[in-house]
Amino acid sequence: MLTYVIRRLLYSIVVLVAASFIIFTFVSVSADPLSFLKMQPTASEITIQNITKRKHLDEPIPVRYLYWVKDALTNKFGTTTIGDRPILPDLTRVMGHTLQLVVASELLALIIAVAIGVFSALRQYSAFDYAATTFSFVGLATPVFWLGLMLQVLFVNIYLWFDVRIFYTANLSGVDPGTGLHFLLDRIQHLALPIMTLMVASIASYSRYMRSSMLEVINSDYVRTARAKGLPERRVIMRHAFRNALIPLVTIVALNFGSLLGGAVVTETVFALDGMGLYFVNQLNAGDPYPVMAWLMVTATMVIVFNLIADIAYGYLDPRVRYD
Amino acid sequence: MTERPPSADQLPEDREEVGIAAGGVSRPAAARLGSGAVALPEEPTGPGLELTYESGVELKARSQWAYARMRFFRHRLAVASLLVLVALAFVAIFAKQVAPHGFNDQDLLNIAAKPSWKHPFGTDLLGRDYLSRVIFGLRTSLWVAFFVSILSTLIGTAIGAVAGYYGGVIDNLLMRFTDLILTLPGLAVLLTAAAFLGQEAQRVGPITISQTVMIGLILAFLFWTGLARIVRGVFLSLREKEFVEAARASGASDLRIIVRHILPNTVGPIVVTMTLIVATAILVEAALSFLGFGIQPPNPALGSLIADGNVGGLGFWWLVTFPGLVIVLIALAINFIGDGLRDALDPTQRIRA
Repeated sequence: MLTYVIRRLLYSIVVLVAASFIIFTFVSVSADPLSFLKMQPTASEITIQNITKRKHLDEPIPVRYLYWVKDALTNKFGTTTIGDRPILPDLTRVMGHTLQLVVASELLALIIAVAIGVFSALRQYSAFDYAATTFSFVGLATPVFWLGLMLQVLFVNIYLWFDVRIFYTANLSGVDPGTGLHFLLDRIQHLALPIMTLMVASIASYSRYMRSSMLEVINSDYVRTARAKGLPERRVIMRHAFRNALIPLVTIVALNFGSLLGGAVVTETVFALDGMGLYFVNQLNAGDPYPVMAWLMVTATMVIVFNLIADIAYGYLDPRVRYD
Repeated sequence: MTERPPSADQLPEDREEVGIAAGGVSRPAAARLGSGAVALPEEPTGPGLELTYESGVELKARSQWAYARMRFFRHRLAVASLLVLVALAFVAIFAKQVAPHGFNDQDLLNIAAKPSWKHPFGTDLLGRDYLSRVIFGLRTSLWVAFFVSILSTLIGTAIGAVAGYYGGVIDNLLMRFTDLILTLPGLAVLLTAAAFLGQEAQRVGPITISQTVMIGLILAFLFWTGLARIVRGVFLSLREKEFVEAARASGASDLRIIVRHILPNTVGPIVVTMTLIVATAILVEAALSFLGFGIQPPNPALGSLIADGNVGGLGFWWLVTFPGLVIVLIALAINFIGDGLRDALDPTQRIRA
C-alpha cells in the first residue's frame, strides 16, 4: 500500500512538472504581460525596463521557467509582473470563497442525489424513476453557464417586475458581510444561486451512479441471503445494501470535489464570484504567467491529492481491492 | 443510460447475438447457431439466406448490421432524436437559404425587440434578427463539434490500434503519453491553449489554419484519450485470436490485419464514443466561447451569442434563453442517439441494467 502511494506520488510529480512547463510555455510564448502597460502613455520606458529586468522577460523561455521555479519555491509563488503584488494572499482569499461555494453545493448535492438514486433503484421503472432519469439527462445536457444565467434572468426579472429581491446575483466581497447570523444570511443570499447552479450537474451525475450501484447491490446474493434469513426489509436495505452501494460513489465524489476546488470556473465567472475560477480567467486574460502558474500548482495538487484519497478510500472500504 | 425492462425490447433472437458481437462481424448470425442442427452452406451469403432447422422451424439470416439497425429503430427516443439532429443539421448546412436574415443585417426600427412574428427570437441591441444569428451560430457550433468528433476518433483509434496490436515498448510509450494527456489538468490546458493559440488564425508554413479550426484542433487534442484506451483493450484481446493468426499465416500485412480484420470488431464502441464526443464538444466549445476564449467574432457561435446576450442587467431575457435552449436540444438529442447506438451495437452492455 505504501509503495503504491509513493509510486503514485512520484508519477504525479512528473505530470505536474510536465504540465507546469507546458502551461508556462503557452502563456509566455503568446502573451506579453506588459502589453497593457506599454499602451499607457504615462508609463515610462524605465518602468518597463525595470519590470523586464526584474522578471527576466528578456531571457529565453526555459531560463524564465527556471527563474519561476526558484521564485515559486523560495518566495511563495512570487509576485505579479505588473504591480509586484504578492500572489499567495490573493490566492488564499479566493480559495476561501471557492471552498464556501463548493463544500455547500457538493454536500447538498450528495444528500439529494443519494436519496434520488436509492429511491429510483428501489422503485425501478416507476414514474419517479423515469422522472429522475429525465432530470439527469436534461441536467447533463444543460451548459452550466447557461443554467446560471437563466437563474439570474429569472430572479432579475422578478426584481424588475415585482421589486422583490430574494437573492443577490453577483459579487461576494463588495459589501461587509457582518458577523454571526448576518454573515450567514448574507452568504446564503449571495451564494444560493451559484450553489444551485453547481448542484444540478452534480445531482444529475451522482444520482445515476447511486442508482446503478444500488441496483447492482440489491440484486446480489448476499442481499438475498439477508432477506432469506428473515431480516426486516428496512434493515436489509439500510444496513446491508445501502452502505455497500455508497462505496463506488465515494470515488466519484472525491474526484469531482478535487477538480471543483480549482474553482467552478464557469459558475464563478457567471456570478462574478471572487473565487479560484474567476481569478484564473482574469489572470489568463492579463497574460501574466506568475499567478496563472500559482493557480495551476494549487489546483493540480488538489486534483492529485483527491485522486489519491479516492483510491485509498476505495481500498479501505472495499477489502477486495488490492494495490500492488 | 436509459434502462428499460429487457423484455420490452429484446428480440427473440437476442440471446444468440451476444456471441456474434464478441466474435466477428462478417458472418450472418444464423450461420453460427447450433452446430449440427443447421445445414451450413459452403459460403454464408448475406441477408436473405434461409436456413432450416431439422425441426422444421424456419429462420431468416440477417447480418449483424441488420440486427443493429432493427434494435436502433426500436429505441423510439433515439429515432426521434436522430430526426431532430438531422433537421438541425439541415438548417445549419443550408443556413444561408433557411435564415430569414443575414447574421449581420440590422433592422434599425426594431432594436432589442422582444420575440414577435417578425423576429421569432427577438432582435439584439444592434437590431440584428436573433433567429438568424442563432441559426448561423448553430452552423459554427455543429461544425466544430463534428470536426472534433471525427478528428479525435481518428487519433484515438490510430493510437489505440497501434498500441494494442504491437504491444511491448510501443504500447508502453503510447499509453504513458495517453495517461499524461488524461492526467493533465484538462481545463487549465484547454483554457491556456485556447487563449494563446486559438484567438486568431495561425500560420504553419504555407497553410493558414482558421481560428475556428484551431479551436477544433485544441479540443480534439484533449478528447481522444478515452477512445484510445477502449480500442487498445479490444486489440490486445483480439490479436491472439485464431482468425488473426490465420490472416497472418496467409501472408496479410500488419496494416491489412489491423484495418480489415481487427478494426471491424471495434466499430461498436468507436461509433458510440464518437457520438458522445459530439455532445461533449458542443458543451465545452459553448463554455469556451462564453468565457471569450472560443470562437471569435464576427463568427457567431451559440456560446458567444449567450455571452453577448448577458447585457443590460439581463432584462433582455430572449438573448440568453434561445441559444441556450438550442444547445440543450442538441446535447440531449446526441446523448439519446448515443444511448440508442450503444443498445444497438453493443448488446452485451445492456445486460447490466
